[in-house]
Amino acid sequence: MVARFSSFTKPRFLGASLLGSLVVGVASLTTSLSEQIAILGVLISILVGLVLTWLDEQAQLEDFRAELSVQERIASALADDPALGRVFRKISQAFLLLSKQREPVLRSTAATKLLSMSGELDQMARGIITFNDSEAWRTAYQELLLSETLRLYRSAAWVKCETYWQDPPGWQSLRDNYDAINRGVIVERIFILPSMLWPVEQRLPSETVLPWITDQHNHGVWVMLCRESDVYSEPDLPQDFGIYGDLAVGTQILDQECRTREFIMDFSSEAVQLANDRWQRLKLFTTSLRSLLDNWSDDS
Amino acid sequence: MPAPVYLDTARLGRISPTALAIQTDYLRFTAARGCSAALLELLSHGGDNWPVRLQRQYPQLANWCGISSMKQRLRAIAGADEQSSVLLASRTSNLMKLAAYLLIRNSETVVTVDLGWPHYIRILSQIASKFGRQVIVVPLREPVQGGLDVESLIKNLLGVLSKLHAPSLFLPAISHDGVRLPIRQIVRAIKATTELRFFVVDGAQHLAHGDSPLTEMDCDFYFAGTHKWLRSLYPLGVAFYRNRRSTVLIETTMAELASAGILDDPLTRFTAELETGLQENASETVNLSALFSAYGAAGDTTLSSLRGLTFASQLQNAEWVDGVVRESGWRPIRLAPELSSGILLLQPPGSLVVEEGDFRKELERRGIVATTYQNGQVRLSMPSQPLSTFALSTIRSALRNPPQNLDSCLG
Repeated sequence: MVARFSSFTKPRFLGASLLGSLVVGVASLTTSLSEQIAILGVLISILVGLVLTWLDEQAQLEDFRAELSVQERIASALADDPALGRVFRKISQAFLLLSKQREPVLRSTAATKLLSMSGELDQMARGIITFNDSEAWRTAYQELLLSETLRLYRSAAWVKCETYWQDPPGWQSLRDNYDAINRGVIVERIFILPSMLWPVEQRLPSETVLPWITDQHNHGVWVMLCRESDVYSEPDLPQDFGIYGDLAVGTQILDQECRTREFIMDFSSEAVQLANDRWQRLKLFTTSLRSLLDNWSDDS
Repeated sequence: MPAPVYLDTARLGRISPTALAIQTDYLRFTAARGCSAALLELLSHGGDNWPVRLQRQYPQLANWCGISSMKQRLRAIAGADEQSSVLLASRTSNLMKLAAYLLIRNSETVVTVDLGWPHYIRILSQIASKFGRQVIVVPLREPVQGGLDVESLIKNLLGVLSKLHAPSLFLPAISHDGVRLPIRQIVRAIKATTELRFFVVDGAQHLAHGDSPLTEMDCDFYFAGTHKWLRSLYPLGVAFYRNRRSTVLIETTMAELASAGILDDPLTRFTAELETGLQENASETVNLSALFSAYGAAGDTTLSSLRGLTFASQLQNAEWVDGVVRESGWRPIRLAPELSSGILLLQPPGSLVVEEGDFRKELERRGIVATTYQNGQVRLSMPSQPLSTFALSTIRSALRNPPQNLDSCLG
């Protein structure tokens, strides 16, 4: 309020008011009434136009100030995270450079692409990161396994074909599992196997995958096996997913050749809860490899 | 003066005759030849490959037939089958450490009982806390000494295990104070309700004493020392494992612990090298006395298949001792018959607070060697041969009057 009253004492306001009053005063002495009304109308119209323009400018200024305050807030929020802070600065600088580009096609294409990126960023902000058509997710996977707070890692492996995880990145991930076990992480894994890899008449899975599975058992992974046919009526159960304690859930989507099409990491507590529920349901259809080996020994 | 009646095998067995003979030969051999090539020849290929002259000079040592033969003898004593792998270690505590890692590796909680050897429970707790795992010690001693039967004991254990996610189990086959746990029945009951991640049996008081064969225990890992009931004098750790579900897991864990420098027993490595013939150039010097001694002692020990007879004899001895010590006011702690063993714990008349060492000396002066405890309890380990009338009367008179220098402590 104080600021508004002080506006009336400013020289520009006083000057304009005096000048207007003088013009109207002179007009009242030298012109007819109808001319005086016309002059007054013109002056009032000019004044209204000026006020509206000023209000518009003020609104734009407020928006700009608000944006600046968001940037300040982001900068302050990222103060403790140098890596994210660096990325943010890089993006901001790129935006500044982009704003200087005048080519309309470039600007509109960039806007379309950035819109899709902003969608992805929005997902990240809600705790979901998606990796497409690459094995880049394994870096995040490794980081999660290295997390000091991780005590229990549960994973369901839907082994659709015998090449499942049979490549250098897959072998490396297994080594990461074993290292985690040696650091004290409990690793539990459910293998969901189609009849091709675990024929109904066989007590144990076929030799194409068995050595790979028992190797995990022998390194301390608690192995459970599930026949794919047993979960046929529960379509949400056969999935490739991992639950990293209460930190995150990873869901892997593979093609028929067991190559990664998509890997989604969800860090929300709701996702962890849902995955744990799914794990418990899936577990009902499993048999531990330990007990299968036991029975195998009894038979032999 | 006759030798005292030896009733302290649960602590340390008297060296067996063959162990003494082979040990004597070994000492004579090393005094004359040190670590000669003949010794390595003996270790690797057995005494049959020695020149006749050496065989005549050291006949007992020449009986050594190699590590494989020794392991075979130990299998027969423990009641393990041909498929069982045998591990030898210079210290039983090293085997306990390995057991602890195996127990906690993929289990959130390890369940054990307060009948376990406190030092082993300490090792287990230390390693468990390093990995943020929980150790639950189920209190069984008091109820068992109060007459708890097998069914209730199993119920107590199941009550704890069934509430846990992914438990492992560590039990003594026979506790140091003489409680024989019905391992087979316990495991059967557990298997019907839940699944154990790993199961280890401490056989320290069971090897060459208990009547249940190892194959019946269905455990993943069993370990013991040879210096108690096997009577080898020198401590030697021995472990057995046989199940397909855990054999490679155990060996992988051992290899990983060794390569990480966490657990590497020189005798384990040395005996493995002897068996495989792949010897490292810069391996650590190992004490072979325990090896020869255990080999000799194993030759004197009743095989598991015949242990029922000696065990029955030990239980009979305990009955007789029960009779004679009651006359002196001592109260034997009698357990349910299925839980009894050749170790008998005696409660003193009144409340006796004693200096362990003094009491032990006094009993020895009176003709018996036994374990004594600060609370006045006495532990008697029953021999496998029937106690003679003379031995029983010595026990009676040793315990008849409270030791003179302890009179004032009696309440």
